[in-house]
Amino acid sequence: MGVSTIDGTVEAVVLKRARRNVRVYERVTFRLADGSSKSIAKAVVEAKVAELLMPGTSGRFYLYTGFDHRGIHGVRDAQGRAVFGFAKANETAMLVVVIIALAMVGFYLAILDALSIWGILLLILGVPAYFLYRRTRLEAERQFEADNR
Amino acid sequence: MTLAHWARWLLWANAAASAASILFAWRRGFDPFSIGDSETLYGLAASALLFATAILVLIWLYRANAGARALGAEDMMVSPGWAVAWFFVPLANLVMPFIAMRELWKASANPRDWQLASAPLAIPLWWAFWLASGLAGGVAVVLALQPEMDALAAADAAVALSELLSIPAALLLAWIVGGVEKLQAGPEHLRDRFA
Repeated sequence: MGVSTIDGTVEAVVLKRARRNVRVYERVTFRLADGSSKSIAKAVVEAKVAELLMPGTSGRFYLYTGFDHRGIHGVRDAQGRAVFGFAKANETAMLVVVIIALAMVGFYLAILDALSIWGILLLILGVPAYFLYRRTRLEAERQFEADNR
Repeated sequence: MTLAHWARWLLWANAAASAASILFAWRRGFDPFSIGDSETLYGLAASALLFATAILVLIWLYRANAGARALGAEDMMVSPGWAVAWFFVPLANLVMPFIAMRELWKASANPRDWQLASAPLAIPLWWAFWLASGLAGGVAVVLALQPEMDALAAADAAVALSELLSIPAALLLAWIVGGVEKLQAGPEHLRDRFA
């Protein structure tokens, strides 16, 4: 988990799927300054950032690594364009899971006077996952902002 | 002997111990009421062996993950600490240790550009056997808690099934441990680093 940057040129992109404002790339390959290449597999990219992620784009690319996926959350290209975008779908999904789990636990306790095992399991999964996703997003925002100065 | 060598030896010993456990159960016709003192003692020794193996394999996993990073692998999703910790997180432990192991293999195979590296079929196979063994063990626990006598006999058979499935899981893991060690010690990394 964490953030990093790549300074280089986009050499190839293979889009796996596009859904609303999120793009998932099978791979994005960069050519680095030393001539070597580096690939990012299964990268999740927000649509605004994806627009700049074309072969030939040179500049600095901002990467994040979550606990279960990775992506590219920002680009500063050689033309001076700077775009930040973080795909929040997983974070939102986990928040929904937590709310549903809390409702299940509350319903079982209030109406049935019992514990919902599924509700508790979903809480065990959802709460840490939500905070881990959130932490990664905030870290990515801070990284991109800090590089702006 | 390196840590990986010890881990592999212990995994092989575990596979042998599981085979012996099945033999014990088969010889008494899966009748849990005829378990003798010798089998009880054997069970305790096998549990101690399993515990020691788990500790050693987790230490190896931590060091191997850190080793892949030291070879230059960047942006790995699973840190050395989490590679170990995921085994103990409910629900996530059904998937994340597999992801950690697959990532470790890829990062060891080609640290500088690891994300497009391929991982061997042995890793998903290991994980499938591991989960199936755990599932059979879970069924055994549920059956053992039932008051009926028949359920206890079925629990004994489920334990044997769990042991049977753990044999390929242990052997595959031993192969993976050896493979990662070989990859991390490979001459291509040295060439990369000292070129």
